[in-house]
Amino acid sequence: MNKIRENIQTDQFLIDKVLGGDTNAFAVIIKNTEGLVAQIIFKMINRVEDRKDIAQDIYLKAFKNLPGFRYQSKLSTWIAQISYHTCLSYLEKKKLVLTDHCYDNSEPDEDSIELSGGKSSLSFTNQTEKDIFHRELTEILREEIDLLSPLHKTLITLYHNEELSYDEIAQITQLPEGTVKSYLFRARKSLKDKLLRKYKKEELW
Amino acid sequence: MVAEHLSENDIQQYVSDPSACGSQVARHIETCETCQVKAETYRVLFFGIRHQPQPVFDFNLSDLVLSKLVQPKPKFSWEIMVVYLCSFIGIMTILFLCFLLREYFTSLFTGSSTLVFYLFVVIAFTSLVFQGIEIYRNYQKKINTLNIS
Repeated sequence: MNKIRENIQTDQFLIDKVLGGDTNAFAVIIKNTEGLVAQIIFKMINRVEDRKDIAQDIYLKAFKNLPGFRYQSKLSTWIAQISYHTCLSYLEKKKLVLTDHCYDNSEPDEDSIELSGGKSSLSFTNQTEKDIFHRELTEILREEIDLLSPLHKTLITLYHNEELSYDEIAQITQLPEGTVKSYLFRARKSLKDKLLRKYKKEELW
Repeated sequence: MVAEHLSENDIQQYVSDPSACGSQVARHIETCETCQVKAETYRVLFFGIRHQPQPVFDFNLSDLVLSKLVQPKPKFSWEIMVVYLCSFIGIMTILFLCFLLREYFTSLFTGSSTLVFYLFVVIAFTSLVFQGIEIYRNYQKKINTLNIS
C-alpha cells in the first residue's frame, strides 16, 4: 500500500514538473518507462525500422495528453496503455493480425518426454550442464515466443517479465481480466507443448 | 484430495501463484507424479520466459523525444497568484498585530517561571528540527527522482 502511495507521489511530482514546463522531468518519465514500452513495441512490431517512429509517437502522445492524466492508474500503466494502442493502430493500418487462433491442439505424449532428460531444472550434476540447458532453453523459447501472435507475446511478456498483475494487464489492453487470463493460459500451453515437442524431437536424434 | 488429475489451468495457476490455489490442489500435486511432471515443465517454461533478454532501443529515446517537444511556456496561474496574495496579506496582518501588541509580548514571559520558558523553547525547537528533517528528506527524494544522469 505504501509502495502504491509512493508511486503516485512520484508520478504526481514528475507530472507537476512537466506541466510546469520542466521537460527534463519528462526525460525522467521516459527513462523510468522505456523498458516497459520497449517490451510492448518489440513484441508487437516486427519491422525494426518502424519501432523508432512508434516509440517516439508514444511519448509525444503521452506528453500531449499528460494534462488529462487522472491518476486512476500508475503513470507507467497509462504509458503502457498508450504504447499498446499505438502498436494496435499500426497493426490495423498494416492489416496485420493481432491474434490468431490456430493453435495446434494435439497433445504431446508427456509420459515419454520430460524436459532435460527427466531432470528438474534445479537438479543438475554440474554447473556447466545447467548453464548449457538454460542457454538452450532460453534460445528455444525466444524462437517459440517470436512465433506467437503479437497479443499473446505481449501478454506473456507483461505477466512474466514485467511482473504486472492481471488487473494492470487488463487496464493496458482494455480487455476483461477473464479474457487476459484465458489468452495467457492458451499462450503458455502452446509454448509448453512446443517446448515438449522440440525436446522430444531432439531426443529422437 | 482431488482424485482425478488436475486440469492444465490448475497446474498453471499452481506454478505461477501457489498461494492462490486451494489446499486440495497442492495436496494432489504433492502425491501425483503425473501432475508433478506437468508442474515441473511449467516451472521450467516460466523460468525460461523470465530469463529472456530485455529488449533495448538502439537509439537514445529521451533525446529523440525531447528534441521534438515544443517547450511549453510556464503558464500564468491565477490560483498561484491568489495563494501568494493571501500569504502576503496573512504575513502583513501578523506583523501588524505583533506591532500593535508589542508591549503585551514583552510582558508575556516575565510573569512565568524560567522552567516554563525553557520548556516552551525546547518544544518549539524540537518540532522545528523534526519539520526541518522531514522537509530535507522530501527534498532529497525529489532530487533523487529527478537525477537522470
